[in-house]
Amino acid sequence: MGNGSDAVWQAALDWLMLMHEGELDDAGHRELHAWLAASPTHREAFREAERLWTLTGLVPPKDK
Amino acid sequence: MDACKWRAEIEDIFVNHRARLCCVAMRILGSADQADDIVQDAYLKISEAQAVFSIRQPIAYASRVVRNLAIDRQRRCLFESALFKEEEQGELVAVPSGSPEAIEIDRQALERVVRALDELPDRTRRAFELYRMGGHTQREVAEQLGVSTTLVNFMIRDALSHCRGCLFAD
Repeated sequence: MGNGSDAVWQAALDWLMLMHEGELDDAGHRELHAWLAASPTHREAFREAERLWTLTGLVPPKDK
Repeated sequence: MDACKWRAEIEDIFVNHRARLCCVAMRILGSADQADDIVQDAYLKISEAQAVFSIRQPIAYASRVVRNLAIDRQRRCLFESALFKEEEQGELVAVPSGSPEAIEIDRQALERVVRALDELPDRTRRAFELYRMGGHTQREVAEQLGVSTTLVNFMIRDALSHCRGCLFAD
């Protein structure tokens, strides 16, 4: 957690949000792939972000 | 609703409202087979989730989960098909599949995420819910809450980072 990996985590969140808002075209997807291919740290951060995305998608909204 | 009754209700929804749930997924994915996979995956995930929290409106909840999983899968498919076009160039690095059905849900992780979300300031939680569960864009969330898109972006980051801290803390 943290420990200098924060910039990578923030970048992973950028990609996650772009992907899930449907903002990536083919070129964008290739850029994401290049980013993932660049480092195992990037892949790990993105994998964590996607796992959190799936988990949070199961939590019902508060008091409704 | 107690756990037993809730479980029975979920079973009932996935049997008796299956066609309706498939229809929700089908509208997004455009394929009956894929829609069926997503509904099955939603059933497995919700079965796990039902041990962690109970839901007031199970049909609405199940539809929402199916819809969100279908969207996640569709986004992932777009990513993979963009890469597939590149494959001949032979530069692909194996990227772990983030398709929702490849992501396992375990109770402990869900509990941690639920707790983490409960710890967020109300407005941050609301922003995140509208974005994640509600499927709104950051701009739409900003309009609904009467704040800037930049602030919404920060709140979503805060929410996910806080969940990450709680999930991977040991």
